[in-house]
Amino acid sequence: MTDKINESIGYAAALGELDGILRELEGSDVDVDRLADRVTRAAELIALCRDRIGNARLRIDEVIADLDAASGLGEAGLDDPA
Amino acid sequence: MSQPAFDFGDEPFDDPSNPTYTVGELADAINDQLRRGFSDGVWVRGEISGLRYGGPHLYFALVEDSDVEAGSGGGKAVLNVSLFAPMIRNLTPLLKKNRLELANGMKVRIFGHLDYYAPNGRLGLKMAGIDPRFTLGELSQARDQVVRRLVANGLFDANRRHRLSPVPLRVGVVASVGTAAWHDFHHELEQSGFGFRLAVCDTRVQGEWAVGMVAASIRTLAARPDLDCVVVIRGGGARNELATFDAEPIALAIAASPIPVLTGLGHEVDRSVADEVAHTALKTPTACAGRLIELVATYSAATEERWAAIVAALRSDLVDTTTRLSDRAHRIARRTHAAVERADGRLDTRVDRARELPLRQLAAAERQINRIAVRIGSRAPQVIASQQRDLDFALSRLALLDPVNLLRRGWSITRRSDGAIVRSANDVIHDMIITTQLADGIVTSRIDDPTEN
Repeated sequence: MTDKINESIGYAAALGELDGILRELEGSDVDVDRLADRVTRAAELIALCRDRIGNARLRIDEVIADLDAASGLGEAGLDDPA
Repeated sequence: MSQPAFDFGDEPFDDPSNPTYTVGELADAINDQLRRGFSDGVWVRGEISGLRYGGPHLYFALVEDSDVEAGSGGGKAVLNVSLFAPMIRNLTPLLKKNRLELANGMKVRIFGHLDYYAPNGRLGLKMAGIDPRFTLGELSQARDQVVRRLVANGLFDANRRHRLSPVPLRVGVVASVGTAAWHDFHHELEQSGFGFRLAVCDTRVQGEWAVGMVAASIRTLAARPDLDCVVVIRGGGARNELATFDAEPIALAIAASPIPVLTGLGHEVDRSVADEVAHTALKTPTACAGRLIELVATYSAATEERWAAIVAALRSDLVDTTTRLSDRAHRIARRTHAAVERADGRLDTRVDRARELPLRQLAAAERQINRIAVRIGSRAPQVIASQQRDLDFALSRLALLDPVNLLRRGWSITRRSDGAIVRSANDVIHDMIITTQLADGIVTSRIDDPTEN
């Protein structure tokens, strides 16, 4: 299920769906029968979003590290054999 | 004149009435007669021919003017003329004053005394005077005719229409090589130091054949493709000799020349026809050379000047350009440096922002997700609790209605023996057995008095 979501849905869409679920849950006439399903779906979407955020952070860190290495900023002496 | 007697009788040889002359006596007699007939001398006009010096004396034949029909008798009338040294001395100032010099072909009006010269038995004229106005008039007339014809044929200005090269270094020269005129001209050009290249036609410029030779020389040189101009020069001389250059063939040759013809005919006052038709007429060969040198010098100077100006302009341009270039290089260097620093600064800022902003965004997204998670996490129990509350309320309301609870509070249910619930006094009759259900059991009763309220 999570895999399927990962493949099919983007962060913004996931966020949109989460907002929809929130609106539904926060409404006055929540269907209890659907409640567990919606919460389960919301948990999945939250996991997905967190996953994306984590990945993005990792990649950004990598890119910035590369950038710093290339410009000689920051990690000076990294390539210094001494 | 008495008729001579030919019967030769016995008359004496020296009859005073009819004397016999010796040759010498006759010669004297002839001369006496001539002096008597032309007592004050005689004026005669004609054309000089066969001019020659014999010692200090000058001899020529005066022939009938070629323009005038031959006189009586066959052939041309000829008169031998002698001009003796003393007379030459007498006449020279007059001739010089009019810049005339006796020459063959010259038309003259002369004065003299007829003289029968016994030693050779010839009649001649001892010349004693000359009328220069006649010769000059003849020359002028001939000249005017030539000029009129040239003008009529549109040839008068023909040579002047050609443009003289500003650098006339290749010069065709019509001159009598070896004369002072030639030397003056040649020397002048040589002294100038310019690289004149001369093509010379050594030509007689005076005398019998001069006209034809000069004209042919001009034509020959004018036909050459490698010349800038033709120069015709001649030293100073008598005006009548200059008449050579009044001749039509020379004027025609000049007019027909496709390159400019310059003349330097060595005379100060008169202009010959050749001068009139020439591109440029100068007074002397030296002046002619001078003009050529002047043109070349002017051109050379102008060229030098232009070159100097070009060099100066180039140098100035070069200096300006170098200065500008250097200036620009410095400005570019400064600006580039500044730009690089600015760019570097901007890049740093951007790197920092690139570093910070995504992380900030991610943090925001994370916070958002966390908030959503919290809301969802808290909302579901809230919903369940709320539902639970609703349910409990319903239950409590339901409990109020439960008969057990009602029985406990004192309410009871009375049924008949058939099980029907007694709801009205009319439902029972006397002696009917009824059962009453209480909270803790059933009471059976018998109806005593079913009385309605």
